[in-house]
Amino acid sequence: MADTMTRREALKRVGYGIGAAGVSTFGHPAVLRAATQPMKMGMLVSLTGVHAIFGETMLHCAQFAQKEINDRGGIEGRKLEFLIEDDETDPKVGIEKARKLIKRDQVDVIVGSISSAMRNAVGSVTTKEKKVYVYPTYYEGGYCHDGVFVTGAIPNQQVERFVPWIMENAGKTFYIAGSDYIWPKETSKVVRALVEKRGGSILGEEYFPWNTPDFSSLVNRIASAKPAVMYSLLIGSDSVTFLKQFHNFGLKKTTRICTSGVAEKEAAGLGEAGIGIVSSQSYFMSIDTPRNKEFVEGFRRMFPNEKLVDSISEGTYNAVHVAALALAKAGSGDWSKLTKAFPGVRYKAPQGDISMAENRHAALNSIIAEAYNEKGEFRIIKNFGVTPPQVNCFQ
Amino acid sequence: MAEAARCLRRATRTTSVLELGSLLTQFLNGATLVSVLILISIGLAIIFGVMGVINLAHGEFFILGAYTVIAADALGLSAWWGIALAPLVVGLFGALVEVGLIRFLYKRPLETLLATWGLSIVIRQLVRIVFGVGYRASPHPLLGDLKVFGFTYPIYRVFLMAVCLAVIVITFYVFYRTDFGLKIRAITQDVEMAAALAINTSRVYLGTFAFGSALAGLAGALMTPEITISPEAGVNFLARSFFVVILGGIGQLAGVLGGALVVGELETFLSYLISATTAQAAVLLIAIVIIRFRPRGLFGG
Repeated sequence: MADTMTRREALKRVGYGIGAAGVSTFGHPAVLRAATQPMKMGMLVSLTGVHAIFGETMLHCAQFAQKEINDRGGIEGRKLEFLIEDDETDPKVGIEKARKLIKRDQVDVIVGSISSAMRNAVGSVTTKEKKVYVYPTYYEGGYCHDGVFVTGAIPNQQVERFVPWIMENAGKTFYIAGSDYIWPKETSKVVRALVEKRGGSILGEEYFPWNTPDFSSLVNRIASAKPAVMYSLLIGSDSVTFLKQFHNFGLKKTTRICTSGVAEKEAAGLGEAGIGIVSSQSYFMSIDTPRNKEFVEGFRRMFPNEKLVDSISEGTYNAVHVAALALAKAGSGDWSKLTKAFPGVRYKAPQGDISMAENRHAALNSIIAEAYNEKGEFRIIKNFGVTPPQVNCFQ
Repeated sequence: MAEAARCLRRATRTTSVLELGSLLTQFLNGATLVSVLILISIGLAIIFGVMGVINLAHGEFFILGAYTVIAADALGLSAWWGIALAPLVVGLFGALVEVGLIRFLYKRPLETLLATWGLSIVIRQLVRIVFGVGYRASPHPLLGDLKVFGFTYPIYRVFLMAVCLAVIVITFYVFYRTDFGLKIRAITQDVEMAAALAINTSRVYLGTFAFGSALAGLAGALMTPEITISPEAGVNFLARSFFVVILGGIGQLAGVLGGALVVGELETFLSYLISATTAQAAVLLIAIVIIRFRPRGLFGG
């Protein structure tokens, strides 16, 4: 290995020398050209549509990571270049844009997506085209395809340590409500198993279609069931609408809201209705470490208008850094080398140390925090440290 | 089967005397949704009924009302100011849209469809530029419960229903008891004849569009404590409102009330009895059946 490294180093210097001399590298062996060309990363995020609220900050966090990488000399001397595409929060568009990034722009890696539907769409293209894809959002787990790596949390990381804490501190009777799709359903399975194993009970479990304007029927049922804990797995705007109405009906006095679907951005939309909500994520903006401070301050210097970073954006930032480390390890975007390079990559992330496991998922931190003001800021209650990902492949 | 059993269990539960409070709560929950749907749909219905314009930007007018409350809050004004200002601000905006865009498309319904759809995108992007893409929150104007004989219900929702009732009364009064209403009805029946009788049609159109927009703005402002405020939030209510208008009978004021009653109460009660996903599908199905047998809507002639 050592001797190939020095050879590459030597080639790179030759490449630079040629560049400096003003001579075109055109016509030289491909390997020589490759060494001077930038590494290409495709950023596939939602800049329009309902997920734009997350997508914009995801992109900014990725661009901050890109700047950090290039300021330190790029990846093995090669500049990191971004090709940015908007998936319009529509999986059909996501497929088209993923194809464009691979076929026309010839990217080495694609990073992005929020929803499971979008990830499945993009993953279906990248796996077939043999390109590495890094998915940065917390999700239901179990997505096992060659070349798809995950830097977001999966249920065991969000729930395993959270539920015992809830049962000790808030109560043993639960009511679960979620959006009607795979992430809430898979997460609730884990919650239910943990609650029942510890002698608690689930008084109700319900799922709601996207964009439900009125949750008062659910609130009414929760009021009759009188659970100690309302475990919310509603997401995005549905989460905000429900929690506002829950607050307006005065139920927060008797029932504690616990969730793995609310972070800074949702809490900001809740205002006073958000205060007291306990959430479990792999990252919160208020983590009090020098590393996180450096991250938040650097990010705000680059994007002064950005107020809140959440676990999805931090996951995207980590995804770019982890992919860059894997690219450096593999030496190129070559599929077989790069997929082997990911496992074992370690990164000192804003949330704490993270690493890529053999199962293509990341060992991430499990942190619980409570929203304490109307601006969407959280106070850390407990940081459980790193939880390895437990993946049962089913999709 | 499990679904059916659960449904039955819940159905028997709701009929028990002990659950009477819960049943009443459920009725009021439905009434709140009905109120909001009426506020939004009236504007949609009269703009279509009078002008023949299908306004796809109506959901964005709703959102502009909500953001008026956010802007008022940012200026240090209370949410009540926001609610009072919203119909004025959005009504004025509607008037500008009428003069600047709709006016040129009176006799071209397909083009209005395209133009108002484009307008909705423009408004959403403007809101994003001015207020940011993120969810926004505003302070709740009236948190607390109304207590009657041991039964409690959030007082703000009661206020919401009262406002809606007032708006219905005002709208019907304007339509059936004022000179302006007479002109509107004349134009709805026969534009050319009305114009020949020296009715200034373009002024009536302007007034109608501004009034419809103002109602959407008012609805948006009133709903800020109950919904997610984001540039995209208008779509949820727009789809349901179209549904209400079509079900009730296009161009009918009374139809809006009937349509909203069916959609709102049905959705709320069904989602209490069966899963919300099934309930929303069932409401759609029932509406399709109704339209199959009454193609001109519940109140259509």
